[in-house]
Amino acid sequence: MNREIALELKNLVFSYRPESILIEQMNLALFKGEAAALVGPNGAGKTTLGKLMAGILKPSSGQLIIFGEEGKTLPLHRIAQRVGYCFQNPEHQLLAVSVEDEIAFGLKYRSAGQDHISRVTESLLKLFEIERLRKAFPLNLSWGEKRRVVLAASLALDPEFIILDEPTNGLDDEQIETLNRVLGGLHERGIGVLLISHNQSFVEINAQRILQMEEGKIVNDYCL
Amino acid sequence: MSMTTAFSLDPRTKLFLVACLSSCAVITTHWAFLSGLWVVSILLLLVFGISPWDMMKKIRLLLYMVIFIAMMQSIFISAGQALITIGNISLMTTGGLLMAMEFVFRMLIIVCSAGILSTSNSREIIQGLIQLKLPYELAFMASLGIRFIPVFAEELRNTMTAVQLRGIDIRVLPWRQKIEVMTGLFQPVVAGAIIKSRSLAMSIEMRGFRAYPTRSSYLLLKYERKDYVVMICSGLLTAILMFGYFFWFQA
Amino acid sequence: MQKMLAVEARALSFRYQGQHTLVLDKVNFNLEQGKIAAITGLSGCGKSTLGYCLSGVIPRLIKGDFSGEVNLQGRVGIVFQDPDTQIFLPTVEDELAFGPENLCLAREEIREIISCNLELIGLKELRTENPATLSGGQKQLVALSGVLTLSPDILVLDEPLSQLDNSAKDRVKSILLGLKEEGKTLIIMEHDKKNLLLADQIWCLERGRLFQLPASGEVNQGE
Repeated sequence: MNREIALELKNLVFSYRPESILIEQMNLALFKGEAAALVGPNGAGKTTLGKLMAGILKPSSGQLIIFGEEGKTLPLHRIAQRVGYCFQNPEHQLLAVSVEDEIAFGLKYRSAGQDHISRVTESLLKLFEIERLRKAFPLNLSWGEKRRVVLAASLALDPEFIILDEPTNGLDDEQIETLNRVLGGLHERGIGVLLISHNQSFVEINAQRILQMEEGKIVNDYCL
Repeated sequence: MSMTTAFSLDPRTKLFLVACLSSCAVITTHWAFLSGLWVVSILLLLVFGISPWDMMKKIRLLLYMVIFIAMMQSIFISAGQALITIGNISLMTTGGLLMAMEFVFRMLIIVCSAGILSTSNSREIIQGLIQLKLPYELAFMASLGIRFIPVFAEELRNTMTAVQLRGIDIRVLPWRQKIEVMTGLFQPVVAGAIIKSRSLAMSIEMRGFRAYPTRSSYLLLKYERKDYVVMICSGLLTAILMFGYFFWFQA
Repeated sequence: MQKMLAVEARALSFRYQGQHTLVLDKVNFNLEQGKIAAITGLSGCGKSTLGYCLSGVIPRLIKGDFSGEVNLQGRVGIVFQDPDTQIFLPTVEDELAFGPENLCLAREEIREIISCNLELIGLKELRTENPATLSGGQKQLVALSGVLTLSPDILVLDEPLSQLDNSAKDRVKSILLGLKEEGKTLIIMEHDKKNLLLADQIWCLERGRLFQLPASGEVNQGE
């Protein structure tokens, strides 16, 4: 089986302070089109690892390779065009004054054509069932709605891989159903996903590979 | 994760020290004296275990602003000899330059003072103010007000990360779009900071803040001998310096 | 044979300033002392708003069109959904001390309360850490403990388990049941069905209307 690597960590170490290392000597490869889940107890370093892989945090030492390129030197905006990331707290990622603008934001400033923008925006509004909210001020939405808007906005860039930090947080069952459907669709289109989640049933539905993390290390890596 | 220093003093002692330092900086106007004070405050930073270099790096942006203001002052104050002139307009004068240097040194001393205070965490400073008989509401409000600055800074940092996560490099955008993005971001960033502060205020209120006119405290500060020593020394030194300043420089 | 009502709300209506639709439309709610009520509903249905009304945040701290009546028998505490906006002191210990300090408790007593609560919630090792550097789940536990140290009689919790791992979830659930044993009254906003088993009664909020569902056992059988 010949699988191409999307994201790869080589001997990666991360710490804010030398005395407390958050990620220890990690070697890990995520493959194109793969649906993986990062699970583990609170404070294990899951979010930190996710942010490292998305280029938001830079490793203290070791290598991060993103689609064959050295991640340390790639600027975040370049990484983001291939690897999407959604924060645990959606409020950190809301940038526009309406849901519509929010989804169109990334495309608009990368000089995409107006037709293309509206086509993408419409399809994402529909996909996430948020058409009725198109004019709403994103910060005034409920938590679950904010999450969907942020995910939609990330997908507008058409990334090849996407990392979601606790995507089911604050979503009700119906919205988790919608999310499952969206993730299924991404999988079919060959887009890789890394889910950071506590929600076991959600992980079981959406991931084929489980990475279990404890105290800054991957302690278990298996396929479902 | 409080910063451990070899020289751990009561926050009130630090407040006193900073008060001495900044009143010297405000009262005096001679650049030579001020530069001496600045050296003293750098030495104090070292004593408190802060690297002045790291600190200057952190506040680089502020420094640029200070230097810019200093140059503006220099342009508009036409005292002394003109150093650089374009036609009839003197761009820099000796008077202006001295004035600017005073201003820069004063700002640097104040920044160093803030550095000294930052070796105590916010709760300790609040407690210091309370034990100095400041009403507790005021002490907490002041600290929350100051906290708004890092909240806002974090909000801004998060937002810039979020912009890049949308695949946008703001530096390469044409100016018109750059301004468009920045002004567009203004509303969510400010709204976000306000919403956050309001939620925090709500949580504080619901945890019984201001339920009673007084409030007990888990943290209790006690002066030790070294605190008295430092305070007496710095008080005396300040008095001597002031006396010397008025005697020598103003005579 | 009716026990004392700890929470009683009659004809609650609320509309946020500058909005057209009523978030709550003549809502009635009763809860006996020593019981746990769960309030479910779709995301964005107004669960948090109902929590604000039942805890007095509305109309005291949030403005809008409010009508109706809420009676609370005892002191109320509320844990909000987003832990980031509830944590503001430089150490976990300070955060837990904040409430008891406001109640003017003695220093020794506060120390006792902090130790007890840290032990209970499993954050003992993090006592002197800066909460801002903790993970989402740990922050959520700190926010919860920050209210538990006030030992409120009525506790309103807005999705208290959302960011917790399984072991922390179990721990918090057992803490909540323990509080119930002590005669505290709890209102939990929750939409994860697994966590509803905790509750004595389940209410559902939909389009501003609140209605009571059959008890948890029956809900599960219905699926």
